[in-house]
Amino acid sequence: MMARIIGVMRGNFSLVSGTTILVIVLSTVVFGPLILRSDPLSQDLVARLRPPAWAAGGTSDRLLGTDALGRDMVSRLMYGGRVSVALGVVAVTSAGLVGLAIGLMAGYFGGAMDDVIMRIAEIQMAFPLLVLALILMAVFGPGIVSMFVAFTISGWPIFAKITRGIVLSIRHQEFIEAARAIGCGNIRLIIRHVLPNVLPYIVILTALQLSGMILTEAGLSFVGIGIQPPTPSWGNMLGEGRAYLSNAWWLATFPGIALMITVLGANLLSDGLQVVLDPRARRRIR
Amino acid sequence: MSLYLVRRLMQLFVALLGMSIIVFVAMRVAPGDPAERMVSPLATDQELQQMREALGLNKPIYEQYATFLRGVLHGNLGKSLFYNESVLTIVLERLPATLQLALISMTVVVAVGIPLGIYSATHGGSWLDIIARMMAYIGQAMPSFWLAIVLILVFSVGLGIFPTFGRRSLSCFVLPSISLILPRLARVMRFVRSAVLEVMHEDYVRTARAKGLLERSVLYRHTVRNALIPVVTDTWLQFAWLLGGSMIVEVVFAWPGIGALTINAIYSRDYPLAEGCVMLLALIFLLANLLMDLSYAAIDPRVRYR
Repeated sequence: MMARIIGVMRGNFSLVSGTTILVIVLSTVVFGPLILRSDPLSQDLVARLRPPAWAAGGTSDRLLGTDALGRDMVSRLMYGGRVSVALGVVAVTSAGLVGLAIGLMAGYFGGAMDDVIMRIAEIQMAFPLLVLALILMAVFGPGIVSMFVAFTISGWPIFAKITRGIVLSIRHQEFIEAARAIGCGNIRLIIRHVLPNVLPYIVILTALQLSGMILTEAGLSFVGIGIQPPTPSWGNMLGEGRAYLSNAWWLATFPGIALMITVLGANLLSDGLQVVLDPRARRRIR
Repeated sequence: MSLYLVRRLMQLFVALLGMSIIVFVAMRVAPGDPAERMVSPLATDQELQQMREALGLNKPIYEQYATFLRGVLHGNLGKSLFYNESVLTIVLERLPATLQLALISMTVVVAVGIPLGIYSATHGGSWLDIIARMMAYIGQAMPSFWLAIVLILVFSVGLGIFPTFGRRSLSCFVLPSISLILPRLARVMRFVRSAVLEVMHEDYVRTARAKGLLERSVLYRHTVRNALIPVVTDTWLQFAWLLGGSMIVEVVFAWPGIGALTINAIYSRDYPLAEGCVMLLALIFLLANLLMDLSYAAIDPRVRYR
């Protein structure tokens, strides 16, 4: 098993680097707070707006400085990472599952149902996410639940469209016909024959969408309609930092870097996965 | 083909109708209404009610919707509750700002991204390719609003070269454009590169080369033209998205465009303005989708619509 994994990773720079980055980020946000035991919410108004340790006025116990309320940036970054990454992962999973199911149905059964579903998907995609989130937040109140619903609602169409496309292209192939000829029922056909051909692309798409959702969460929290303070998230840390650009550059810089590294990792991962999973890409050597 | 067009247009109309109902209902269900924001915090309940009546918010929802619909059919999108002007006027006023940013950004992205992508595909492993690909990876990973902040930090606060906000002068265009351009440039470049690489190994390219055609001929007439089909799709969609107003960048730079207008309208519960803006954004996106599907059929002879 280990040998297989190493075999897959060999020569695949994207996969290796993407996985490494994501593992580092995940361990930091999951285990970091347990090791450091510092509180992201404890304010220390005497020590507000302290720069990072290497700049003048910085102290070594507040390695990346403090924010406007004296809260430690390092622990805020780690706790914020938990929120941002967790939301991204959960949202992409639910959007992916919903989209996969709908896409399989639409592609396999076709007809009017396919048309209706595709038009609904298009309406969904045409609805500006920001507006959707604003409205949901106005109705359900701000916070994680609204964000989760907004992401799932806006995320499923692309999974559905791609799934449907693949299903359409293999629906008339001979192995499906053969399976039906020996009496395979629809559900069994979908699960045992169609789904395995769809999954590789869905996995790749999931990695890509994950980075998209993390970025989107950051954007929504940035304008104040996502995760609400005092709960830290990389997005709302950026939003808070924006007001202090001229005197406290570290507030806005570090969350952005964290975001960038995480998204980079996810993108590299999806590229690497594409080399492994996409049969067309396998022909090409990196 | 024209039957397809008619069907798509009908679907577009239905989609817009559906969306208008959703927005309409959602805004009125949300807590807080414009009346609350227009009267002083010390106002009595009676004054609040009077304000609501004056704004026409007391009528049942379906009546409000019917009024709205009737207005739309006459080309009247209603009057903004806060600006006291016709919604259409306000929107049209702010449209050029967004349009300018969108056009500038997309032009640069296409003009630089496509050649770079082609070069990267054909000269794989060269210095320019490696640098371009690294920057593309990083560029795609950057949130555009964070890029905006960093640009402001470096160029406005630090060096004082470009203004921080507004749309007063030509130099005001630079930072917002760069924020919008960089991530998209990265995306297009990678897209073009992978599309060209994909096509380069197809049999018909090998045939063209075997025929003895000049490499350049092979490249442009066969490879690139076919590779660009998915790129065109994605670019169109990006442009449509930009037209909808890159809301967050507009907010960061206080750019007087449609995106910022929409956000403010929803925040202040300015019902007519918010509905008008959202409908406009949806219309733009759906139309762009339709145009894109049509151009698909025009470019790729293998695509046929019933």
